[in-house]
Amino acid sequence: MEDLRVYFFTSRGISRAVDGVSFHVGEGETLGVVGESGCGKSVTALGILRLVPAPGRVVGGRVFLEGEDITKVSEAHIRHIRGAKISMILQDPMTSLNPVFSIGSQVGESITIHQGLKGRTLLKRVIEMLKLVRIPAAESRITDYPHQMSGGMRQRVAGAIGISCEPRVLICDEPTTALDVTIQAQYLELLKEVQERTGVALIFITHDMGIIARMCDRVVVMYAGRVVETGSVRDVFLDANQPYTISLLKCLPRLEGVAHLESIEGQPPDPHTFPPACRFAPRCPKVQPVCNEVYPEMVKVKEGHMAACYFPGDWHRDK
Amino acid sequence: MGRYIMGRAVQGLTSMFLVTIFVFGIVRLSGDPLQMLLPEEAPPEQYAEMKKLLYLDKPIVVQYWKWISRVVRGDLGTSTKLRIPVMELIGERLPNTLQLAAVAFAFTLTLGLAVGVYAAAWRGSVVDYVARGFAVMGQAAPSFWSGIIFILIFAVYLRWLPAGGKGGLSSIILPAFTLGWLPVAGVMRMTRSSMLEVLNSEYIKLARIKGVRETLVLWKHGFKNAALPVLTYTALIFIAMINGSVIIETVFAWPGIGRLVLEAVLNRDFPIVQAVVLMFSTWYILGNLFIDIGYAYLNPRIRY
Amino acid sequence: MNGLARIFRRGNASAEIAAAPAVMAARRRGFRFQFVPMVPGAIILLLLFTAIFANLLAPFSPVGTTLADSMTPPSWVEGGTTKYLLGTDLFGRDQISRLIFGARVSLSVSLTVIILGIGLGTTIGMISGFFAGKLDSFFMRVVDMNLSFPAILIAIVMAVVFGPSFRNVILIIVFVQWARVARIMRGESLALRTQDFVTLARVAGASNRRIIMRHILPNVFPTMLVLATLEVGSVILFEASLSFLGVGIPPPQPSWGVMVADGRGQIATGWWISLFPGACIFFTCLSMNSVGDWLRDRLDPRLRTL
Repeated sequence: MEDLRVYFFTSRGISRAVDGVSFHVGEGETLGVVGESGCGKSVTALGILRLVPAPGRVVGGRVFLEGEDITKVSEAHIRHIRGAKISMILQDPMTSLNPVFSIGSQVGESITIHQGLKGRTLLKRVIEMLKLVRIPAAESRITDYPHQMSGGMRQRVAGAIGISCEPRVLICDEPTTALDVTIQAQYLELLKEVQERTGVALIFITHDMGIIARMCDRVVVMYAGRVVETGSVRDVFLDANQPYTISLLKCLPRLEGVAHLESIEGQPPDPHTFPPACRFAPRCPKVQPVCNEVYPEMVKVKEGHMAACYFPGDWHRDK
Repeated sequence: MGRYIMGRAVQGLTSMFLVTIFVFGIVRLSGDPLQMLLPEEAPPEQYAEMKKLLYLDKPIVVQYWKWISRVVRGDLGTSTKLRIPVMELIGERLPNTLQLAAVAFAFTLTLGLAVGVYAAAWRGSVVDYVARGFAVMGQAAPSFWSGIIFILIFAVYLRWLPAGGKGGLSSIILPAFTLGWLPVAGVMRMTRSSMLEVLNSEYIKLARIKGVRETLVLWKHGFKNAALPVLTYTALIFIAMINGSVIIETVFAWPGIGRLVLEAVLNRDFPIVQAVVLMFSTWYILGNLFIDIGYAYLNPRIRY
Repeated sequence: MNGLARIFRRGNASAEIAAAPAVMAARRRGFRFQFVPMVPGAIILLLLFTAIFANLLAPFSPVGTTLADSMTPPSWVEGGTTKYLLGTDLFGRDQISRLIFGARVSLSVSLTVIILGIGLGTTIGMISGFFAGKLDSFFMRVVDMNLSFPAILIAIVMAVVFGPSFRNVILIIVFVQWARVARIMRGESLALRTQDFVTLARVAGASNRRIIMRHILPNVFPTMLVLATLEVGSVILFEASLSFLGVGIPPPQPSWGVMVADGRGQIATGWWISLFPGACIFFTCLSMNSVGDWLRDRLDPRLRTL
């Protein structure tokens, strides 16, 4: 994905929710996308699927799937990609399942649409999918309605819907935030397992650095509609080069360091009036005059590790 | 589920009981029931006959009991003016009213639901604005007046449709349209706001993510959820039809129950009035009961 | 994780804070033309003015007949005169004067009905919702029954039984209208009675009467206001319908409904007789409804399904 831009055209002007975001994800790989609420993570995900709600619009950038730019293809074509090649698990399992259809029919729907299965073969397939996400007694539960299931079970159903057509890419938009902590861990294990079996590429959207550390191979840190740092999880966690990333990591409680748990002062800028300068500058503890002038380019820290800062890594080690 | 139906049925019965008390009482409330029930010029033997029929010399509870047991057996009395059994009169006029109501109802559901769904889906479009204008006007225009204006336009000037009376198929168009306008407006508004809410939901997002075609997103995933609140509104359509029939049938000289009852009221022919009020109220209460039960069936969340 | 969550929550709140100055700036800009509620509001004010000063504004008596001028068309139509701007009816009565006095009839009926109906409905609704229990289920049965009557039909029957008069029309409409108000008000106070401030008042030893007057009533007041505005339109329609059917305001008093009925027989020869009074009803209701909708969106958006 290159330079994706999603702008919202509101009565208060243009809101640049996603303002030039690029990343890539390979087969069987897990990419984490992390950032505060409102930094454009979820809109990026919807932008990939061309499902940004009005008044939003994808205004620029390209998204390649197996070499094909899917921002250019017809509406009918992208519909065949949605659910079949790129799928998504939404945040809240309590609201993401349709209350008036049985879970069997909801899991089966995309299979019917994209693979044309019907009747007994479809039923077999649905049960198979429900078993894959470890729903106990799948055979008897397919006629249940969402309200008869717990939150964790529902999110498993949502997972089953996501992988039902064996997509190449599965976007998980904070799939565990609405779940209990113990259920969260189980669910993450489950996603790993599914990935091992199907080789699906996972894009994991979250604000939880802990989940990133546990799940992902590489990570993209987003701030105010842009990528501020990207690299392998190991590199970013051990050698963060952008002050926002560092601040995020400091917010993470550690066993040995509960005492200096920190929060980031200030608020992210209004997406209607992004300054040309570094967008983190007003909150940056190490801000320099140049930061308030021009937005910094992404600089290479080492192979596969980039950061958008004028002073990458110069000062962060002092703490 | 069974308990729920039982509870609703008991409620319906209580309402029915109160309705019969009202219908029974209204004639007595105003003084001498004989004077209310009989025309002034009625011969004395008719007075005596009526007095015996009503058990006026007995206590009021007995009077009610005698009356209600006759009603339950289907004996609604005889028209004092026309001297024809009320049931016969109703049987004669009812099909006309039902025809009119059926056409208006079909018109309400198809137009109200379809336009409501698309007004929500294409929010802010021309369809949306026209639909909302149509709805707002329908809720402000008095039906007796819009009926007359339609007659003026389509019957007097354009001469496309008959001005009134019951003739061929073309004679039902104007009255049905006039009768349906208000309920169409209501259904449209309800469907639109309900659809708007549903279309914002996560499960609609998920349906689109799955690659479901937009038509199916609207009608399968969206409409089935949005239809539930609209269904409750159908009860109101029913009242609108009943209330409306009195006015519309007068405007278009349609030989139905509405006109029968209005003439009866103006002629002080109370057995007919009692019968019609009772009938309409019963329908309404039954209709409500079925809607509640239907609601429970359609909505898996309250099925217990 | 917790630290992060805290920031994110603050991040969300900040969006609202950031939006606030913009809203305030828009308000500070001062007078801005808004079609609703200004145009319908102006129509309503004009109508009130007309109704109050009807006797000064009307060029002729609303009931005086001049048979020689029967069925004069409006002034701009061939055969019309400037003497009767909107023409005359079958009895040669001036349409404009009748419309002006009709405004007085419509508004006085609807305002009286609204005051009585909303008052009755609110009282019963509040008591029913506040005390809940047996009293509540009794009142709600009565309300259900009232709502299950075909309103027009019942009103017609009552009009004939009690005789048509100005006072009876008002009482009849109140009778068919209060239940709707009561049901909504009951819902409101049912929700309020479990609120903390009511419990607190009870703990402080306030009497039921005091709680209702001091805590429930002020909180249901916006709903009451919205309902009152929204109901005016339907009351005017209802009165006009009764008058049209001949069981409302007794002739020769000029009610808009009666005037439409007067023109019904003459529709082919005198379209103006029905058209103008009907248009008056239409625009009055339209204005009332749109002001009511606007008020509801402002004060009580939860009522949107009404």
